[in-house]
This record gives sequence, structure tokens and C-alpha cells, in this order.
Amino acid sequence: MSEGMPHGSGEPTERGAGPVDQRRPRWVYGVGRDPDVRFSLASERTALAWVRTGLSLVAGGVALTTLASLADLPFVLDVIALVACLAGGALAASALYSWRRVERALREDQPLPAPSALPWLVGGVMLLGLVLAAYAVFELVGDL
Amino acid sequence: MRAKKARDAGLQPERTALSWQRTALSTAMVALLLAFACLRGGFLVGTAIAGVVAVAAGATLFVVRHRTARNERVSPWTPLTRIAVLLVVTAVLGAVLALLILL
Repeated sequence: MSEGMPHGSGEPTERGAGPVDQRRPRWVYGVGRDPDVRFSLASERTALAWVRTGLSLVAGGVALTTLASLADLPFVLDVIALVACLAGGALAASALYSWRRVERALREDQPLPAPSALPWLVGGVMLLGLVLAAYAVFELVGDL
Repeated sequence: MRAKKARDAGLQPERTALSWQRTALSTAMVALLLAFACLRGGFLVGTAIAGVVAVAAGATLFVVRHRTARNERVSPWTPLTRIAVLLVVTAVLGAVLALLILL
């Protein structure tokens, strides 16, 4: 395993003799030692995937509010759009936060923290679906 | 240069770079959507900011790709780069056209 340790962009080849580690944030890079770069890269990708999830929530919110203004749809859709946009931003922030925690845990060889944003995301999406379904039913009943 | 670097079997750096590219493209797309929404609402400052964000995301994508390609001594004009540049140029043209129609 130690033989197959690939090194990424050249930086961590000479420890000790090399320049002082100045990578930021110090809260992450100031502790432990460099893990296998594959793990760091994978955790970076996970964070980016969370950012993209947040971005798609924002995109959905913007699309919904645009549609609501185009088709003169009711107020409740604007509220849902607002919540989706805010949730997307919060998800992006939580991606950074959990990346820091995961990277720190990797460096200290500790168990990884649980993906705390996941239940919130699942709950939010379920709630969104339920609210929109209820809204659709309400509209249908109103039309009849 | 390229041969000296040990090749990672899992292509981890490449996958991470692609992940960054996806994220930058999503950012550009959301920014353009926002620009459109702001344009419709008559909030031109918002349109300008969103347009700058979109262009910045595209430019970052290109600059990073360019640097990587230079380090690895390969041409940066891969099909992917061409498509991305085409996409960004189309987006800028669309934004300019929208502004022209609006003003």
C-alpha cells in the first residue's frame, strides 16, 4: 500500500527539508499528516458534488420564480422558490464545512464524521414534493 | 515531464479536475439563469453581476485547463475545451443580445 502511494502535484514529496507547510485553512492542515492523496481528492470531489446539489437547488428556485412571474402563478410558488434558493446556499456552505471536518479527520486518522447535510436534504426534498403535490391537489379540487 | 509523473490507476486527479469543471459549468449555467430572471424583472444590476459571475466561471475553467495543459505539454484545445468555449461565447452573445433588445 505504501509503495502505491501516488503523489499529486509534487508538493508533498520532501517533508521536513522542504518549505514550511502554509496551506490554508490551518484548522485542517495544521494537524495530523498528509493522508493518501486519493482520499483527499475523493473528499474534494464529494464537497464539489454537494456544491452542485446546492447549485441545482438554486437553479430550481430561480427557474420556479421566473416561471411564476411569466405565467402569473400564485404567491406560494415564490415562497417555495425563495426557500429552495436559501437551502441551496446553505448546502454550499455546509459542503465547505463538512469538507473541512472530513479532511481533518483524514489527517488525524479518525473516523469520518457522518454526512450531516444528507438527512436535511432528504427531508427538504420530501417536504418540497409533498407541498407541491398538496398544492396540485388543492388546485385540482378548486377547479372542479 | 508527463512520463516522469507516476500514473494513478484510479485517475483521481483527472476525476477531481472534471468535478471542478462540472461545478464551474453549473455555476455559469445558474448565473445565466439568474441573469435572465433579473433581466425579466428589470433588475439590470443583478443581470450585470450574474453575467460577470458566469463569464468568470467560464474564464476560470479555461485558465485552469490552459495551465494544466501547459504543465503536461499537451494542447489545451481538446474537444471538451472547444465545446466549453463555444458554450461560453454563445452565452455571452445571448446576454449581449438580451441587453441590446432591452435597452
